[in-house]
Amino acid sequence: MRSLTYPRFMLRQHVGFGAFSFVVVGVLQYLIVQLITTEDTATMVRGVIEQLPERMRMIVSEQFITRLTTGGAVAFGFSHPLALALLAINAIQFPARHVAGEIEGGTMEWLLAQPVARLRVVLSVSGAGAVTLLAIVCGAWIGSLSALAGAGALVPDLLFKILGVGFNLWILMVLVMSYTLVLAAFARDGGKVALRAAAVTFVFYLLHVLVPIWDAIAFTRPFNFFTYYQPQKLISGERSITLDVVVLAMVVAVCQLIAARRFCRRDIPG
Amino acid sequence: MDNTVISVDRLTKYYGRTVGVKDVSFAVERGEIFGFLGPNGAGKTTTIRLLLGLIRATSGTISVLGQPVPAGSLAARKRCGYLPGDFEGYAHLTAAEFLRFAAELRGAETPAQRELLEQFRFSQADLGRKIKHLSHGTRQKLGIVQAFFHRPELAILDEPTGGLDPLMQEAFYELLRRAQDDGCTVFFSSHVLPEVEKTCHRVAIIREGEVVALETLDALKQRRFRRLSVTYREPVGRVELPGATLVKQEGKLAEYLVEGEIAPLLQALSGLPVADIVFPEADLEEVFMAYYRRSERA
Repeated sequence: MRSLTYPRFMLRQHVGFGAFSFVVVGVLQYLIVQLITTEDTATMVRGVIEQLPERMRMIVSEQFITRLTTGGAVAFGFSHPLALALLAINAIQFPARHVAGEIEGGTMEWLLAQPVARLRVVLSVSGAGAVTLLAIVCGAWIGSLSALAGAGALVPDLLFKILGVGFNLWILMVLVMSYTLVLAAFARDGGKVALRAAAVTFVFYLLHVLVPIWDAIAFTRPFNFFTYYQPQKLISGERSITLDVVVLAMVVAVCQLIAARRFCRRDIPG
Repeated sequence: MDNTVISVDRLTKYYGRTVGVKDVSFAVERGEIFGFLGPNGAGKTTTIRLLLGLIRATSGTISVLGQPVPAGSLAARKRCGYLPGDFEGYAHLTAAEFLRFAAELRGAETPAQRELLEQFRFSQADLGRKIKHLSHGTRQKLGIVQAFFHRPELAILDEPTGGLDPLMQEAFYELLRRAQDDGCTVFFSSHVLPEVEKTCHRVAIIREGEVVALETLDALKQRRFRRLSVTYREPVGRVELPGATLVKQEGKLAEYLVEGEIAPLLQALSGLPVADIVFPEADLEEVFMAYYRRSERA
């Protein structure tokens, strides 16, 4: 299948780091869920949290106390900074390396002189990136479900919620990839694109973490894409996944359209 | 059947305020080997990128293999082979993997691949080596192989012989001759005049983004831009000769660039104390330099 040649070519280059991320995220998820389901960590963590200064306690309480249940542990694993960082690195890599990086290295010029449409390049980058991210999210699913099954705590309601959280996380990371794609479509330096996208992601994440304790930045909440990924509230049933997924999907679509339009019209190399 | 493979009309490309190419017009016929000559920065690569639809023209029209560019560029590129200047390839692939990838992208057989690999003396070791570990010359050979391995109707080559040793340059000229016999049209840019002289039917000379000459090689040479060296018996000061431009004068030795009829020149020389003259056959280098000087004066 000629149309799959380029996405396959990209996937082969990322299989190493993708597999590493899959294993780390899966094992992390398994260990977190396993720990919560086999030890009385709730009492232990509450004791530690009570020793913290008040402001820290406000953050940590929100992050931990509600998660000291089986479902909470799953949610904690799905929002663990290490898992998010690995997924974000994978999400940023595809456009930074295969759009801006290839323009920088001169291979894009060669590629676009072959019978390859520009739109196909954009779709290939997005497709290959989305597949890789989904595979890593599968790692988290497998880790959670196997730990829950081992502890005999896997019930259908929780299973569907976990699948929903994973799907929400996947869309979030596709969004990270999509705005990196927008940056890459305007640039010709892969390293700079990766740094800028990482900085944007980090700033949004930081705002998301700080917003519960800093009223002055509360206005950023609706504009922060991390607001639309709250696994603990999804697991506890306080929030519906539909709105979050729709908002994220719409922003993904807009980013993809901007990136495709720009890439199809720009000079290579620009 | 339309015999025009490339048609470019009043093509202009600006990069911001900088001129890439300006009002460039030419046509390349089927089966022709067309040389695009000019020094670095003259606009050769810009023209090639415009032909392939890699960059957008500010104004003017382009047609390649009957397809308007950029609208029909994809259809045209299916029938083209392209060698970029400073061909790099994917550094992490081996030469064999790169050729396989290039073939898969075309979804086509590569009937000429084995023959080309032999012609350019690729060993199994070369094919198994990662591109980043290949020498510049071997990378360039790989670039030539991928540009021709699917027997394209049109080959667009940007400075194709850079990094090739003389033996491989000969192999390349032989490849051009054979490709032409098979009906392939070749458009190649160069600043190496002897290779253009060896291979091309027609040339365009580009300077600062503008085509200053577009003629057959024979017509260019018939313009008889020739270098004349005159050694006088004694210092004679600055001597101007009819139909000749004084290029250099040092003591008894004077060098002229001669264009057109030489009878008035010989007549003028007969009245001067000439000890010796050297008047070799015109070569393209002289023609090229003359065009440059002329457009500089203009």
